[in-house]
Amino acid sequence: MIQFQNIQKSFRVADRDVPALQGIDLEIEAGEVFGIIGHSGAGKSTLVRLINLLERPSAGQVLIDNIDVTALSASALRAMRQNIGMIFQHFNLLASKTVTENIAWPLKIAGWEAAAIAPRVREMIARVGLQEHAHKYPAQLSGGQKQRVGIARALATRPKILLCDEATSALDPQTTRSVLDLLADINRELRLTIVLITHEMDVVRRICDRVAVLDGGRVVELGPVAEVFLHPKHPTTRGFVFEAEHVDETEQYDDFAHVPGRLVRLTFTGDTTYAPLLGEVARDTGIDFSILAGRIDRIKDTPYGQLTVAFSAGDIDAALAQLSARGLSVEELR
Amino acid sequence: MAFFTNVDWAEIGQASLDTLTMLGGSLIFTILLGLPLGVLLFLTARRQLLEQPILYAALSFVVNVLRSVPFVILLIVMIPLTVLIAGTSLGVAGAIPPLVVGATPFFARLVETALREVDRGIIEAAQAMGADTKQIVFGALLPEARPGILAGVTVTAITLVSYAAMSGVIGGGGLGDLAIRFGYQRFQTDVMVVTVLLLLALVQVLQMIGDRLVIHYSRK
Ligand SMILES: Nc1ncnc2c1ncn2[C@@H]1O[C@H](COP(=O)(O)OP(=O)(O)OP(=O)(O)O)[C@@H](O)[C@H]1O
Ligand SMILES: [Mg+2]
Repeated sequence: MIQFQNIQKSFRVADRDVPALQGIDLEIEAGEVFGIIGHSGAGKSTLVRLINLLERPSAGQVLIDNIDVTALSASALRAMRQNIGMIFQHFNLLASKTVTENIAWPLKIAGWEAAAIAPRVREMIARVGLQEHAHKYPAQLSGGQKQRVGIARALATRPKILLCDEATSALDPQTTRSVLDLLADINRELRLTIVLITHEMDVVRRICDRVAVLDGGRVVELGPVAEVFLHPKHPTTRGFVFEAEHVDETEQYDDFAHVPGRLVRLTFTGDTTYAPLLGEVARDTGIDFSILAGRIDRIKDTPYGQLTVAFSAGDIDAALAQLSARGLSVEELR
Repeated sequence: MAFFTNVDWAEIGQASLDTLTMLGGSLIFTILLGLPLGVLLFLTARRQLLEQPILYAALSFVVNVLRSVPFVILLIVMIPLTVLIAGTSLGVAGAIPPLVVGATPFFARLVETALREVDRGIIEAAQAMGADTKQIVFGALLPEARPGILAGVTVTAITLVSYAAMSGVIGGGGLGDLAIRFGYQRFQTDVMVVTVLLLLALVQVLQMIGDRLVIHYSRK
């Protein structure tokens, strides 16, 4: 478990203290995939770099399994870092070393026996599917392959935590998906805690369990991904969600202005997504409805649907009550 | 072959050998001293792993002083020190100490520059793995900077060829010595031409080897 307690962090720039993080209190559970989303400069990298102390907090504490990492000696800190993997946007591989040598490096640093290193490296190369590239140099690999080397390198020492700073931002959508799938598989297999920075809601939706939205050095929204994604509250969060959905909130409401009836947003998650609820309720209560907008998709492993519906005629109140009772979230828009 | 009447080929051969010995000897010591000095300069500079502003300023100052002294002056000023180290200030042995002192600061700066070219992200990745400074230097910085350092060795070797020729002025031996004693002082133009051609060939070969090594280790 990773805990941030009342963290402040400022950088000294030209004799002035510029705040980057202002009062962060956050707990990341062991084994979860925790997303951190925010605009450029929000403090995402700074927050994650506090975990392995690449940055020191100006005030506050970072606890990993109840150990205050800021209080560790230099050698204890190095030992702790050997148990935290990290992957980067620009991969940061050694250009002068082969894939095999790159993956062996953290093991050498951690003082593994040469005899133990070779099989472990082969195992990691196989795990990320790079058997044919074991003796290539990074310059001979594609971006997605480089990030797989990064992942293999980060996990070679069997860490419990993996930090990912924009690990898919330099990759195309398809490659991003395959790298995220790999991370999700590894998270399940190893019960690995993954802390993942991104500025793309799609990444969060695909693999995160919970997400924190960072803005101006503060956590402005926090919760399970489905909750934050389907019911975003803070303007920054709404911006990310609507961007991911390719909808323009204000434009959409303008379009609906001339539609008669009561405008309602219905959100289904899990099994209700595929149930014929709307039809059943319409028959029961004699309402008419027209669907104005809608989508059905998945958040990590959970299917969900969200419909914007105009109800007219019949007993609308009874219909809404029935829908709520059957597990839908009902928001009246107008 | 009327033109080459003054040329004593045996003497040319000996002088060439002397030049190669001076070059090899001084290059080895220059690398042995300049590489650690360059690494130290890099590590102690601002925002680097072992940031030490005072030490860096001191090292940097000494390097700059040595680099600003013209080599001929260094040759003469160093004579007592050279005698102390090499037992003589003449010949091949006497030429090596001033060559090393002249080239080491130059090479150290080239090493420092090559290390600065290494992507900071790589140092950061190493720190995130829990590497200590020694592991970062030997595991990441030196291998990653190897092409740059090899280019630096090449430039330094070529500089040493011309410094070695200059040490002929104080009786340093080698091709430069020959060029000055015969070619210049006795107006034997043919000796001058032969020595200069040989020096040119040496520089060409050094550059070619250097370029090959740089390309081989670039892995790009
Ligand atoms: N080493 C540093 N020196 C000075 N200021 C810094 C430093 N690192 C970060 N900052 C500042 O702290 C703030 C937060 O930076 P941070 O890198 O954490 O943002 P980010 O959310 O990761 O942004 P991005 O999405 O662009 O990576 C920014 O205003 C940035 O300019
Ligand atoms: Mg960042």
